[in-house]
Amino acid sequence: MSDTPDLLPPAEPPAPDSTFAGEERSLDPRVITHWRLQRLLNVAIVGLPMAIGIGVGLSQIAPIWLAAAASTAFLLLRLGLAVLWPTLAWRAFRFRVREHDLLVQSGVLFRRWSSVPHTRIQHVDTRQGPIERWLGLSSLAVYTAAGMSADGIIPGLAEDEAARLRDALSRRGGDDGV
Amino acid sequence: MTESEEKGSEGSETPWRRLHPASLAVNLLPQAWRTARGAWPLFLALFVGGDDMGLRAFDLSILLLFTGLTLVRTVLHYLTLRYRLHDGRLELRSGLLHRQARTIDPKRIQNIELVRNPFHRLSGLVELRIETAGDASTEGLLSALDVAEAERLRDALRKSERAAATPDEPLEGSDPVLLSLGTVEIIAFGLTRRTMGTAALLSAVFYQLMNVSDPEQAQDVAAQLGGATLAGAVILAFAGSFVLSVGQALLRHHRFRLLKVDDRLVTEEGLATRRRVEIPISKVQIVQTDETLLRRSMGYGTVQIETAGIGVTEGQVSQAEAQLPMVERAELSTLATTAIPLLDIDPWTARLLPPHPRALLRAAFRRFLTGCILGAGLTGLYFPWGAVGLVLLPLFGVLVAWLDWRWQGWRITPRAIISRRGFFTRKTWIVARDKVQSVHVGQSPFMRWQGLASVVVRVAGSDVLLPEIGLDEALRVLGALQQQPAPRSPPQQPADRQDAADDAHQVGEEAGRDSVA
Repeated sequence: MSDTPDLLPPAEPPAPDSTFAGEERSLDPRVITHWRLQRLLNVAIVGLPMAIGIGVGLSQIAPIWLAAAASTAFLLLRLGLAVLWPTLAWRAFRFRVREHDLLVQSGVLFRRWSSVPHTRIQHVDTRQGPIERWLGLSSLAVYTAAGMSADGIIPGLAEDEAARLRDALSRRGGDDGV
Repeated sequence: MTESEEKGSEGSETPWRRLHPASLAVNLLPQAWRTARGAWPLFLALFVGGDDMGLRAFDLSILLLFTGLTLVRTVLHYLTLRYRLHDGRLELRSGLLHRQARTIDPKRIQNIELVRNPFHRLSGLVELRIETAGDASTEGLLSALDVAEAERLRDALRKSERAAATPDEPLEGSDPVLLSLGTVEIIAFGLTRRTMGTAALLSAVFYQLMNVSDPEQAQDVAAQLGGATLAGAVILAFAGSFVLSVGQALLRHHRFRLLKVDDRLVTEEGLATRRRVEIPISKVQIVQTDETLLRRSMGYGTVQIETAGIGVTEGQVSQAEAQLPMVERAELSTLATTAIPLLDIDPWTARLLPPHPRALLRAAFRRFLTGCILGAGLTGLYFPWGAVGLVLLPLFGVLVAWLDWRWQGWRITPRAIISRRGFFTRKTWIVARDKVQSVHVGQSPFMRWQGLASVVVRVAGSDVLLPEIGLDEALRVLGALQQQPAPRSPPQQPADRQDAADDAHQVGEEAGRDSVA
């Protein structure tokens, strides 16, 4: 992420009531394990049948060794991505509670910066899936009045950290602009 | 008078009211018609494959069953729906097996709509629709009230809303008419609407009709249709679509008027079904103007005013709560300022900032590619002459990309966000900054390579996309928009002077140069 411009000037003075004020933070590294498990599971459930399908399909029109090679290559590619991608995604993910907003930066190929002003936050959720619970992680979703979907999602936080951040963010509030 | 009835009775129970008994008559037919129309795939199936009488009778019986069910629902609706104004709130109860109770806080009302279809008008009734933010359905629907009752209800809701917002606001006497349209203008509106889709549909239906009446003959005709006949049919289809479009426009917008009543915008329109929409100005989220090429060349544009209330009318999601069909160019900015009083710029005279030059490259490349693919397809289908398409379409694509890019623009002032795109249909979005919910900057791999980024501004119920700009500029926008503009001070009059504090969160241009009257 060397070509990433700095997360926005200027540095605001930290807000008094927040533990998270100002500093740029990464996710808990355990989230990499979570994402890896998710992707490996996906490879097992979707990738494997697809690889077999490719192999069988190709064997009709090409020599059997070629079909086997293509099928294996496909599977290896999926496996490689499943192992490597989460690390890249973790590195690309940054968030920061600033004076006026929550700033979330994410995405490896498709990058995205989201800014949600504190005054517009309607509610904040923390959620845990089974793998997350096992790892002691929790996801945070921030909602505004803009729509049904969350405006900002921070996926892998340590449970207690997620709870603190949720409380810090939901304590503010103000005019909802609707 | 009635207020004492509503407000004075905080402790005691306010009696529940029901709809006007004539609601049965008023709702039955439209409801049945709506169901029948909702079942159009069935009709299509009948139309195409219904030679066999058994099938037809079977389908019809299903249709009848549905219609019957609708009728039962209408009767139940009348029998079970109760409403009352209690403690300044509107309370609704309905349902026989599934009971539902709903309380609507007047402060939360996004807009109120009074609709009178021909049946309502015959029986002197009116339908009241109340939209709040959130749910995609109409939150408060009272399908048949007599006019006096509906107006009493509306006034009461309005009054308690105002009491909550600013106490003791003096009522203005007259209701100035901001815009009123004659028949000629509405016909012009219908004519300048995009009608390609309708024409295609009409051609398809025409072809289908011929097919049904005599399939063999239709094939013969299709085979023998010379260029002239084909062109004639297409022209006929277009003429038909224009007539349809004009008819629709007249039905919908006949005798259109836009009024400013106190602190709300009111539109009245409609030929058979009259509708009156009231939008509190403080609830306006986005003003969008569409200037299609034809309309623009006539000096007109269309204005749409959106609130956070999303209404579903007859199965269609209508985002725009008020559409002002034909607005003279000179009036566009005045109307926008009426709907967004904080607007401190005239988007039609002020200089907007251009998109990034490389955005043109991107768009041109994309259109060029699409043109090539289409052209290749044409060449494959109609060999000798189709090749002309292979040459012209990519060039046309590049031209379109340039035209679009050339007219894009954006601007972020201390109070407002402006975004404009499009050449054939030029759209301008205007958002007051104090309505912004969140801001997102996105970058695809290609955009990253070119240092571009897209900015999406989300408001309640809708999004606005800015033209593609450089990443650093996009991040500056993100940084500037995180801060809410200073207090929503005097709600009137855009300031053409600004204080230094405002300049701090102005983007894209040196501060102070923004003083546009």
